[in-house]
Amino acid sequence: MKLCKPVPLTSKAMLLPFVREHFLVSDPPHEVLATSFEFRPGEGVDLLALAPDGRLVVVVAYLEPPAAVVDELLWALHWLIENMSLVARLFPAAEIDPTRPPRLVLAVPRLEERLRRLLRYFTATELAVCEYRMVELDGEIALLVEEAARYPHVEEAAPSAPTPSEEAEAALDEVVARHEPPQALSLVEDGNVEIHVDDMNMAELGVSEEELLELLNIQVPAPEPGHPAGS
Amino acid sequence: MSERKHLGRGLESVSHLFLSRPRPAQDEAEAPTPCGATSPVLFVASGFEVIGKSVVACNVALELARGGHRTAVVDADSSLPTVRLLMGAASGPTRFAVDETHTLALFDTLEEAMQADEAWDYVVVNAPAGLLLGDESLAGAQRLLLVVSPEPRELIRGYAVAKGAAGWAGGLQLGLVVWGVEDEASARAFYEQVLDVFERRLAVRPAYCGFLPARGEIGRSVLSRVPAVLGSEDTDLVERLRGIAAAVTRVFEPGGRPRSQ
Repeated sequence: MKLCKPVPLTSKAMLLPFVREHFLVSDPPHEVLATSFEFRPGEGVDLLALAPDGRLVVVVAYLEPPAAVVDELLWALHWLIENMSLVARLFPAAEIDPTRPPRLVLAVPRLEERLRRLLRYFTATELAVCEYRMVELDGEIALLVEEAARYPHVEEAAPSAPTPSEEAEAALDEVVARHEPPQALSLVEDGNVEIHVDDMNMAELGVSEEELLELLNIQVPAPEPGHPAGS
Repeated sequence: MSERKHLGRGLESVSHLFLSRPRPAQDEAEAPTPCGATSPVLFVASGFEVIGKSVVACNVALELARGGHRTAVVDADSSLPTVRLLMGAASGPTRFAVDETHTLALFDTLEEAMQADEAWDYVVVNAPAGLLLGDESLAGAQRLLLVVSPEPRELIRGYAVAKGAAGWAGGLQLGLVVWGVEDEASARAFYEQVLDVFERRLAVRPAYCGFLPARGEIGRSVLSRVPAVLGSEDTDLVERLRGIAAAVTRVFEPGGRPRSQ
């Protein structure tokens, strides 16, 4: 007779390799793109995977049965849906279909009734809730995963007007993603001012060097008496 | 591609100054006054492709409409029509319900807005980024709200836009919205730094200086696809945008109305 006993989980670091493994060997197998994917400090998802049909699968795991995760979940999902083009560019080798909304998987130790009731109203995308248990089976650690609920994606009514083009959406994402432009440099060395401005043609802009110096509040040392520029 | 310029000792004077008008008399450059122009058109522009410009244009237009002003917004940045994206509106003339009683009209071109059968108080134009000297798009820019940051490239290009507008429009009315700085005091310091250059070089005194908080918050407001004044929980950002809209009504008088005394 095999001996199976529960293993207490103390951290996500302990859990996530098993979750990753689960998706790698699931039927059909998924390609794991990233674990602990943060889209900004402190905010992110635990695993990004790619289903064989090109659909992004987003996994959020909890160590304790969550009571009210909807806000946090919606925010993560919202970010991903809005930035599908960006995500696709981050993983160029993966054939992500940016036109399909991601499938969301919640991995929880136990699906409690309160959360079950809340998730009934979650219609933004397809959602599956998986209950997991970590066990030791004949000396080996294993993660048992069982789908506890599935909530289908409910299509919204057709919008009254067509949505803006995907190209423009992608362009906006690009601008948002790089809205920290590189700094121009101004250096003062040996009495000379050196200005290095990327991608700018001052003559084309119609801005003189005197204006530039004044705008940047850079003082140009006066030529010394006897220097050719001062004569 | 980059261009290196070596200035200082031995610098040859290179001037591309292009001033359309002589420097005004001292009293002309005094404290800001409402422009009193009959044109309702207000250009919102920036030197670089920054998201702050569209955020300002969109939210200010919404706030003006909600304040009871007959307002149109023109998403003239065809390469990145962010206002329409933010508001989830398709191209072509559109009416956007601001609340139960007010609407905002959206157009793709200034011509469409001006040909509409309506007397606008304000036509807010989200201008393409980096309009330059000689650009005919600036011909109607008598009133310009320039979104600018102290980042050198943005500042220089923003200044070039103001210079272009000053070249086209006599009596340009200019307001600045400073972003990319930590706080209002930094924005004020930046304003004072550039004020003299605008006055001396362009004969234009920025009549207003607003401040938008840090970039991250603006980025989040864009990602949420809900114009901040209509639903953001970021009260600081909302208050700043409302403040800019209030300043617009103070500094740029509604079009088509007699100058208030």
